[in-house]
Amino acid sequence: MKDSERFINALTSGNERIIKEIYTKLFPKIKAYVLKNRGDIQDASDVFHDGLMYIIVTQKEKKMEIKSFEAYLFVICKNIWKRTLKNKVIKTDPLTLVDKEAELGTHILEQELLDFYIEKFDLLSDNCKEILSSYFNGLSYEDIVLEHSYASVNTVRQRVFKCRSKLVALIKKDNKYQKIRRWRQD
Amino acid sequence: MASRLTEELLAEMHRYLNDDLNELERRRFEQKIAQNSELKRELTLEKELREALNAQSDYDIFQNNPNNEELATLKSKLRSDEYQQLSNTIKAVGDSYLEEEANKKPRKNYLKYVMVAAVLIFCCSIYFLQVNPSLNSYYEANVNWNELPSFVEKGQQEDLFSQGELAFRASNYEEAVAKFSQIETSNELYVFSLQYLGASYDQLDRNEEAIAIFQQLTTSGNSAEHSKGYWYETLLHLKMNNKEKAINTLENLIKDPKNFNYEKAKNLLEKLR
Repeated sequence: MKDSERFINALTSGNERIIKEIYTKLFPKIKAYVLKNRGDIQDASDVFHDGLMYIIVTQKEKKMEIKSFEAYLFVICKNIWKRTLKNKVIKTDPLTLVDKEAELGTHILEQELLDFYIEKFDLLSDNCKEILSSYFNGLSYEDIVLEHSYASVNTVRQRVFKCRSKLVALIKKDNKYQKIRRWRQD
Repeated sequence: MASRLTEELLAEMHRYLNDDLNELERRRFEQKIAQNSELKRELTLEKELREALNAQSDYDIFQNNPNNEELATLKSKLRSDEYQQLSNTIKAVGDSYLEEEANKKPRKNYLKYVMVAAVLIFCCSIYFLQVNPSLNSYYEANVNWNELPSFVEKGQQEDLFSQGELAFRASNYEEAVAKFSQIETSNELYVFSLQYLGASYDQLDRNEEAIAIFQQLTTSGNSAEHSKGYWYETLLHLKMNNKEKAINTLENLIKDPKNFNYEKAKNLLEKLR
């Protein structure tokens, strides 16, 4: 059995021995990230707990294949920490208490949304993935011309538009997108 | 007004998000967004896609907490016994992992000093053999009422529970006792109200009353939340330097590995024995 599968089974069944193994193998990396980004050991521990809870909730609902458990958990924890940091800045009133489940629930919904987009992105052709990666990473069209040796800015503009339209069509075609739109307050 | 996204509009949106538009261009684009609902939705989607596909991006997806049924369903799922138990297991494993790590480090870094200390301790041990270590220090090391789950939500109408919790967080323990004592057994947060009530008595040094409440917690159900009663009761016995009762309570706790702080309780029991 692959590590990912073994870890997921352990989490959903509450197997302490294997959960300990997850901590030993993966917590140091998350701790290093949180400490580097204005957090302390307690923050790292909370983020790690919430990351694991996210995996439990989503995997119990719908088993999906996770290629690299380590990479997956790291991305989730990073997102949770980014959000926590933002909330820390916003909440200056010490009496504004946090509802733990609401916070974790929001992390879960947010991460589910990101996972949904990544899943659709992975369905695109390699060519589209390549140009859209540069595009969503904020490279200007001029930089994309240079990086991928396209003929002109105009070619990049057309290519980006086509590939993005394919991605958006895949997203909007899925019923889950309508559900996601209802999650937002806007 | 709504119009479809074009190549030109997408290029403009890209420059807008990259902060590459000049002041005038930016204001014009924001005007278009304000007047064009379709474009506004595309901008939201674009931000979300950047967040999902760009490691560096920093947008807020749900600027406020999503206030909807989905979140309410998730919250009640997370509060269910099944998930609370899994959450407690993860926390307990994490605590014991962190404790082991904390114990490992000094040995590695300060081996020399530890050896010197060992010699000193050996030399002085004859004096200390006569003295019992204070059980109170175990209480001090383990008590942390900040860990009690919070159920107060921003903008929510204040009910008895949230009034009690706010009083507790503001160190108004008398008032917290008054509020939590009124919560009925039928309330879905009843098990949590007992935890707050016991903690409030502890803070007021009304230790016997705290113990009675934690015993009530343990006997009022059979979930991981109820099993917290054993742990908290142990802490109170330690606070009162009552080793025998602390051991008895811990023995009850370790009867079921699913109970709260099972591993910690086992370690503590070994130390106390």
